[in-house]
Amino acid sequence: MTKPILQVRGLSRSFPIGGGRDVQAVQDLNFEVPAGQTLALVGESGCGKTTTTKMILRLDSPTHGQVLVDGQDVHGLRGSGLRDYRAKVQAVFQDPFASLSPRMRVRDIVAEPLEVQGHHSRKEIDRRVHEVLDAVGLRHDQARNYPHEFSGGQRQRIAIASALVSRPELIVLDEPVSALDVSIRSQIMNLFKDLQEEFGVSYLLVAHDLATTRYLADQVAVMYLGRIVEYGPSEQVFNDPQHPYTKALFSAALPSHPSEPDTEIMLEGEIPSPLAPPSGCAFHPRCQLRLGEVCARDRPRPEWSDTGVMLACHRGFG
Amino acid sequence: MPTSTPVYGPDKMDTPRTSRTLPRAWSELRSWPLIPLAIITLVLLVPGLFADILAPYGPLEIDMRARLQPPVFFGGDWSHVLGTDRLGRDIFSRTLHGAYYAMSISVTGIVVGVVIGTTLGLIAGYARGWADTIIMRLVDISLALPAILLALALAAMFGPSFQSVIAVVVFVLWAYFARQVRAEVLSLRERDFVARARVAGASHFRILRRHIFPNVINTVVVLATLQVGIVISLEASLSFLGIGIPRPTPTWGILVADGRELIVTAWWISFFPGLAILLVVLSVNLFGDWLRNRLDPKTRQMR
Repeated sequence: MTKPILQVRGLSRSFPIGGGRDVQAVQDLNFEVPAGQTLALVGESGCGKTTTTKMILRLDSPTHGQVLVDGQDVHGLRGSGLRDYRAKVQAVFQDPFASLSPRMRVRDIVAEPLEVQGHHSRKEIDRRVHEVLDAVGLRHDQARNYPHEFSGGQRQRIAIASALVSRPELIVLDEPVSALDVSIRSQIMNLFKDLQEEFGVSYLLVAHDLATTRYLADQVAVMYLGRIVEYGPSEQVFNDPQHPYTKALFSAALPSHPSEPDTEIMLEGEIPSPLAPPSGCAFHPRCQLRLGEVCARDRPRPEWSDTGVMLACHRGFG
Repeated sequence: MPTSTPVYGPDKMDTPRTSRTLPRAWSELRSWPLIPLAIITLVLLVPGLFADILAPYGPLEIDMRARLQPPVFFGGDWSHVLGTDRLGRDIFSRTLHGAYYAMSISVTGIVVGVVIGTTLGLIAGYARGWADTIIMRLVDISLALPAILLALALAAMFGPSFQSVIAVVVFVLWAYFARQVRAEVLSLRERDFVARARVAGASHFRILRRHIFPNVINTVVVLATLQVGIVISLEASLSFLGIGIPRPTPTWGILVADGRELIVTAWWISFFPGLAILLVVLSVNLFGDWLRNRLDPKTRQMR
């Protein structure tokens, strides 16, 4: 396996909620993104995906654990190390109507990661802006326009161009297509694939849309209530999900043909409040395959299979 | 009888429109508040800049032979169009010169107040924490203190002067701007484009300058315009009370105050400067409302 660009070790984040109590948003995450590959984080809303990306992007600090980019702890960086990190890691956010400064021209939006580095000439910046506009399929003359003159899909292309311009090694994609029309989702997803082949960039993809995930991801980590419950190669996890939550989540996707039987596993109840997480396995109150007392009492320890899948469930592989 | 032809005949309907750009320019111009703009220009800006050339007399020129002369259509003559006060000073010339003070005080006071208020508002909203707490408590203090009381204190300490009036204006204005700007910055700083700029590695200063400030400047401009009327009436009230710019400077407030005792016998002394205040304040407010609607992207979409 190639050297990982991103390593997350024992990452936890809790937020104080007053009265001396804390809410655990993310607990003890461990995963890696190998260079040139894509890792997808999937899970319901509120499971901690966004908190995780914020810590990876250094927009928030972890309470415990480390985020390593190229082997360096992101949250200990200062000065030139920090500048290198900022050039290496970029992001594309969910809503292209919110993520582009409304009063900046496309050229300035795209060029910003280079301009802040401060050691590129104007000519060099213009050349690289044109290069990435080509890469994402926008015309050079559109660089003079303002974001409101573009459609959602075009805006997301602008955001992607901006994320690419500093030639990053890792791009965090936070639900990059969920705000787009279905008709242009596939275009943008294909664009991500092409860019990965062309530039060798790695992706950390956050999604709740399983079709996107399956198409783009090499590896998948399934999160539930701030913890990873199953983690492994995309093929393995999609074709043979082990954790009862993963099974339920994947079964909720519509069958590929209307005549196929709908095998959706209905989960009972709401996702529990992180303020009062269930004892033992956090999923046990909703689990249809729970074993009994052990699930409510003990937290399952992660196990690894021969095929490289991690599972946190008392049932084990089977 | 075949003498009359129908008015709405087909040949009339088919007549092509000759020019499409002219009507568009005309309708664009018609959406402008022309009357308020004309009043602002004629009553405030032109006299403010060119009072020395336009005024037939000096503002302090005394002519005891022409004391209390009424305006031209009220028993006076063309030598003093708007009449004279009890020292024979020309009301028209004094009102023109008053525009200079109204203009310079509102421009200076608003510019200084806006710069201070906007800067502190940006800092408070962006940095939050203790900087925010301190700045917002200062805003509370500033808003709680009556302007007249502060003007009295300043006049008592330093004597009434141009500077003390500016100080009062700045003191009244900065807090409004600080509070408004802070509120907008608080919401802007959580937006995704700010997060994106941070991920790109932009410094706090750059984020404020490139991503946040351009999004609050519209509000600031509109608010500043709306303050012109407030400042002119504030200056007039201070001068009227004798705690603003000292006599015999011909500010509008002083001119109105001068005619106070003679309001029954020589109404024109107070009336014309008062009319100037009324027209300018009203026009500036109407213009500010129009500007706000025009710069607000939500209302602009509907046009």
